[in-house]
Amino acid sequence: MITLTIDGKEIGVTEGTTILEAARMFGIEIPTLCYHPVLSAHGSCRLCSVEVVQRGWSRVVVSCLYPVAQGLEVKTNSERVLRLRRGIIELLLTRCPDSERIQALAQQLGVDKPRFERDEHECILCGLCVRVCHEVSEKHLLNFVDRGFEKEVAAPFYEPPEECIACGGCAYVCPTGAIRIVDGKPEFLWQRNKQRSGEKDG
Amino acid sequence: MARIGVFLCYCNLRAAGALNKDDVTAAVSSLSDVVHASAAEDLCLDPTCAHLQQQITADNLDGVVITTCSAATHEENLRRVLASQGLQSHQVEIVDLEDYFSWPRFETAEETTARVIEALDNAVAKIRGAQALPGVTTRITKRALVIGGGIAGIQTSLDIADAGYEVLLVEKTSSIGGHMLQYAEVFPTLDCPQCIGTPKMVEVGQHPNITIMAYSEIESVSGSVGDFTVKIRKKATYVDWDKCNGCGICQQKCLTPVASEYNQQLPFNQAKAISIPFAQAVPNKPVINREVCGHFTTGLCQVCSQICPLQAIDYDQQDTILEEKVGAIVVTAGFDLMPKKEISEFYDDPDIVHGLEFERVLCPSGPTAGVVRRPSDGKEPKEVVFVSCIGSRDPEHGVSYCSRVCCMYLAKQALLYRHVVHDGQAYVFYMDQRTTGKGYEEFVQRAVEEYGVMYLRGRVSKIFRDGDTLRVQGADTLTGQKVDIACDMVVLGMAMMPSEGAKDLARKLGIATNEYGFIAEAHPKLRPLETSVAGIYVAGTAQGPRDIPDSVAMGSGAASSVLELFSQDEVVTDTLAAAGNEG
Amino acid sequence: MKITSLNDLQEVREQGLALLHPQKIKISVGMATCGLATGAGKVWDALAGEIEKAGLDIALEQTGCMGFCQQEPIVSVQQPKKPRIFLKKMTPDKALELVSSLQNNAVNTEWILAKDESERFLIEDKTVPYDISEAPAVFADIPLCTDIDFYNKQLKIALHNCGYIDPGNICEYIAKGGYTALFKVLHEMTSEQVISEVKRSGLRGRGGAGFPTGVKWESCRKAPGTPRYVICNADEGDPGAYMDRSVLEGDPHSVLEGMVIGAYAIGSHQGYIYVRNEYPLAIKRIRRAIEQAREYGILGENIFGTDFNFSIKINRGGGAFVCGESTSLMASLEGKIGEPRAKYIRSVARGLWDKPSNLNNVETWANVPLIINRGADWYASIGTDRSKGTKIFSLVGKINNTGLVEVPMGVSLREIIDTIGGGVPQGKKFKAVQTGGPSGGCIPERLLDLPVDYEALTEAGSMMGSGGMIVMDEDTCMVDVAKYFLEFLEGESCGKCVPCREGVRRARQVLSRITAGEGNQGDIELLEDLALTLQDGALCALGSSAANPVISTLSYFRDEYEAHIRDKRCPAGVCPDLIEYYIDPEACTGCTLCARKCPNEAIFGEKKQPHRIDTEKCIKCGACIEVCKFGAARKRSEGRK
Repeated sequence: MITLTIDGKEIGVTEGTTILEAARMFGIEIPTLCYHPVLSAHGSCRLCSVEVVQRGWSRVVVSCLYPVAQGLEVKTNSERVLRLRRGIIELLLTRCPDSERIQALAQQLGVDKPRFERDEHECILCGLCVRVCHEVSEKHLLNFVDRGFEKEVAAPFYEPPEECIACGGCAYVCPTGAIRIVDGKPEFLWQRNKQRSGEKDG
Repeated sequence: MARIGVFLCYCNLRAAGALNKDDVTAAVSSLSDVVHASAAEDLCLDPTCAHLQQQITADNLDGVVITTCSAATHEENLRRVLASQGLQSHQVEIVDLEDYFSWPRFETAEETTARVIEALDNAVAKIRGAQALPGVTTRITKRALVIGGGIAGIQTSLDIADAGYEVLLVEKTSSIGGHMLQYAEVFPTLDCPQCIGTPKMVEVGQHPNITIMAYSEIESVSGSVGDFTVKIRKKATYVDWDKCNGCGICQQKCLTPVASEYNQQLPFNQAKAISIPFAQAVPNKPVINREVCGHFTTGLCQVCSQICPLQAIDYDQQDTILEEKVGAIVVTAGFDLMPKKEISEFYDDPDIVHGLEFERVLCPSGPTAGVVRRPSDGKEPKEVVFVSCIGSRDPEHGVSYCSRVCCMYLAKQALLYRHVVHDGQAYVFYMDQRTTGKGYEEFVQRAVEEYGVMYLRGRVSKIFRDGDTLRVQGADTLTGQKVDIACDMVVLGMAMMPSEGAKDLARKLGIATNEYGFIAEAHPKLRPLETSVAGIYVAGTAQGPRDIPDSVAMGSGAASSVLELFSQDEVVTDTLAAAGNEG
Repeated sequence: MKITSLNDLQEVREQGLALLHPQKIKISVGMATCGLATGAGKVWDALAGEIEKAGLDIALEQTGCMGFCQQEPIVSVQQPKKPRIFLKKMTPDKALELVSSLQNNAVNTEWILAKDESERFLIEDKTVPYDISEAPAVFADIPLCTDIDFYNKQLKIALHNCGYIDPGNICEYIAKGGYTALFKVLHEMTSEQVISEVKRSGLRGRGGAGFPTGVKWESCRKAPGTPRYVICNADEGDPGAYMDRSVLEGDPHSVLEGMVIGAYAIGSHQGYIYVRNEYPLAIKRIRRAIEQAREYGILGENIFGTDFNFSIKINRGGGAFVCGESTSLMASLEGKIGEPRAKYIRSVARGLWDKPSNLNNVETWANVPLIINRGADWYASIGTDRSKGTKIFSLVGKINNTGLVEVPMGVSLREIIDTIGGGVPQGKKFKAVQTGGPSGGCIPERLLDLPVDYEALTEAGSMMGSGGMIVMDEDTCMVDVAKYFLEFLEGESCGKCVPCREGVRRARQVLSRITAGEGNQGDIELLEDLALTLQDGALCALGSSAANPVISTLSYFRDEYEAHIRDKRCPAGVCPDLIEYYIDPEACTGCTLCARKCPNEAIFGEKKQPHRIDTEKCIKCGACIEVCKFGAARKRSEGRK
């Protein structure tokens, strides 16, 4: 059993627990976007960042992946952490201004209008759909393609995946609603984009 | 009836002096159609009632009026004896003297005598004109319905089934086993209840004569002994249990975690929207909780349905009502603990738990794998206070009765806690020690002597949170000191109540309950397994607080009563028809 | 043959020495990528052809990079009883002339860069003088290599063999004392002793992070789980950095020897070299080296006849800078997408396929054999308190002596730039030196006396990094530099985490606006906020250090940013949207040359009359400035309100 302190509260958890799991077990709130309790942690949205102090050194880590350690001191709401969260949500609000979930988080964190020019993506590349397809249905039909800002989620060759078992998990976990269910099957962003660009060309 | 005999049975202790028996017999003899009137003592003491039989034969009586002190205890025997003499029920009238006088009375012997004479006059008049009504003969359906799949119901079902009769076992949750399966270890043997209970559960599941209807409830009951018609509601599980093989992959893949009801919503683990409550469940089939299930709440998720290799998920499943005919019903609906908040809002604290919550913490197959952790922060509590009689023996705030098992299970839990947490301290606040079972007293002594559990005789006046600790304030009446313990966790011995829905079930069955909802027995001393309705029996904690051995014994007892019923092919019931006399 | 004894090793050594010093003329051509890029291949063909045609008994050998890339192609000539001479800027024509002049015992001294009168055997700490009894008189004025500024302050350790041996021949490596360290390790030392020696030497990772190598090896050795893996990171991605390439092309065996020693110390039997696909020559050389090592029993089963086994596989990268990051590299090795993962559980404990893995940079591995040969004390005597040994830097940009330099830690930046580098060309004024690549920062003139040392550079707002050193002069716009690095990172970001994928993009957009004259009040604060988000929030070092170029240029050259934002002016005259080209009528002679060269016909004027540039048509290519002999064609940035 490992004891650690989160925001001054000492808690006891088993080895191998992450800070986020430990916090949520005892009612300490940490916001997340790319995390799901049933799927493996991804650590890409960085919203769950917290400050940890170990052996006198303080650093910012993501709580969904950082394993608890004996005597760890965690701050979930320090000024440094809140500034980082605001920075992240400002970037996400720039990318996906129409997502209700992002808007709600932004409001919660006190971020009003992003200082960057508005973009119009629907997907925040949290990877939840990819992980559902790998770990739940185990069909491995979705993955990330391309690199950097051009990164997107797609199926091989951008074709609607024939082997999809229509479990709906991808649409269910998607935080922005970029994946919708149409006629019982998931409809993905790249399919809509293809349709849109098809309309433009045609 | 033209030849009526009146027998005044009097018990020395009662009638002597309060009744002029000679006057009574004289007055009665003068009634028309009365050919015999006598008084005798202690008719009840002679099991064969030889005196009665002689008189009936000698005087060729075709009608008998007898007074007794308590019809409830004597009527059946008397009527049986008289029936063997050829006197049918309409030819016999029992007059219960207790209806007329009890001791002491504030009237003269003359007044009492007059009233008894009047009563006898009425009785004679009744049988003078009585005509035989044919009894109702019912063919007994030799099939039993057991309501509630806990350890009592399991025992009842096995006994009846082993005797060769069909049993329908209805259980409202998705698995049989009941509360016993949730405990860590049971007193005084410290057996693992899962280890001793699951073989019985499996036996039930495999028994050719037992049909388990899990996740079902009684909808309505009609009929009478030997011939009940029961409508049973099979609630929708949203899984076709005929197709499902219990592989559990749906539960594994389900994307909606939810607090575990089975684990008393402790924070240490979570169940899923679709789940089998515990690994050894019988039937080992899942249920979807549609309140939280993503499919029902958002319409997007159908992971379980698409993942199930046997296509057993059926979101459109509906409740179904099945009609069954049974000859006997046994109610073994079990108990629930009184909610903590009912006694005090202060008890609404994560570290103030009741016995069942603490059992799940102690249980090696529970959410903490047997490591003692407290719900507010998961740390190991070093000081635990156990408090008896919360809700019980407390007519003002709770119930008036004693819940019987708490003294034992709190001792057990304190012992187990000390066994696991070597540097922990356990305190038990008690009023009395009710350790009546076999090995129980020795068990508690062991807790005190071997495990160092500290017993404090006194009530707890206040429990409240003080930062990181809980403060328990009470008194130690043996030393006369006030006690104030700052502890990490408090376990409350909450009162045992009839299980939720018991009152409703009793109403549907038409059986009586006491004010708390416990099923009322036909006679508290001599007929503890029968209810107020013939053919419906009761066993286990549904009837009142008790431990496992007694519940099991009652279960077998109830089975025996059912088997007694099933040993006949027909039952003849007395008809009592009422007709209004206009005019 | 498989080497199993010291005798065997000695035998191979003799063979190698015979090749190194044949008793005849030997010509070595620097055939590393830098040499090839300047035409060394054609020089080689010319030499080979001529030697064959003339039927001469001259040994011709390929060699690696000597470091003085500004003077490539470099050819060294060894003649019996004469000093060894190094010829600079060779061409095929000169090559032909060389062959004939050698036959006449004469060489054009104008071609000679420097000479060597002895040969250094660093491993044995021996300096063996050449027999120079027949040195021509004209050679007397030629400086020794060690005396010329470029080489004088350098101390070659990792590069000690580069340019002196044929990297394709293991015997020459062994002739210089190579593989004696490995032999000693396998026969005389325990793993713990090896680790202890490396720890004591103070060697720190040369890939950029500077983590103590011995400590890393120790953690990996202690981590539970087998098998363990040893990895060489040859995915050198920093723009302008080519240190690792040169080591792999010039002395691949030093890396292999280091890896086998490391594998023995850690308890690994399988190694990987992850080399970027854009280094085909390095790949070819290391492949050949591995083949030869196997032939000689130095890789594979029973190395040197002991029961230690170790094999190395080569993996080529797919063109992603991020795969130079250790966890991305391992993901790529596993065949997955090159994305980093959180390092809360270090890769020495769970790395490649979740097994203990030790990853080190090429240069780090190359240092290991010498530490074993010469001892930890010797290595620790070089450098500063906290940074031991030497570091290779690629000195590029606005510098006279472009090339690869290896200096002891502690040498000042000024010495590197002014002395070794020969200062900024064309008399321009030095402005800043960028170190550490896209993760590093710029250091201004006033801090040039800083010693080259991990901590000192970090304290100044930059970092050592892998060793890239880009010199900038007054004609460099620092805002443009920041934008350049962010553009690079924007393209190379793996895109997994929000701060880097989104933050770098937005920061680059802000800089694009600023350099286009559309900067706003508050842009600097915006950049600083983004920098904090990146520092604290990014998943890997690519992201967390992405803002360094911005922050360091902001801290030392804030005035340039303000000029761009407030005045819409680019003081260095670089940002196209903020400059205009014009012709000074006073200086213009009307020669019409610029008008003829202008690709867009934007210059007009009468012959012998001052010409004018039509700014609407001007595409700012700079051709006019290049061709104008009178300095009349100029550019200016006046700003606008």
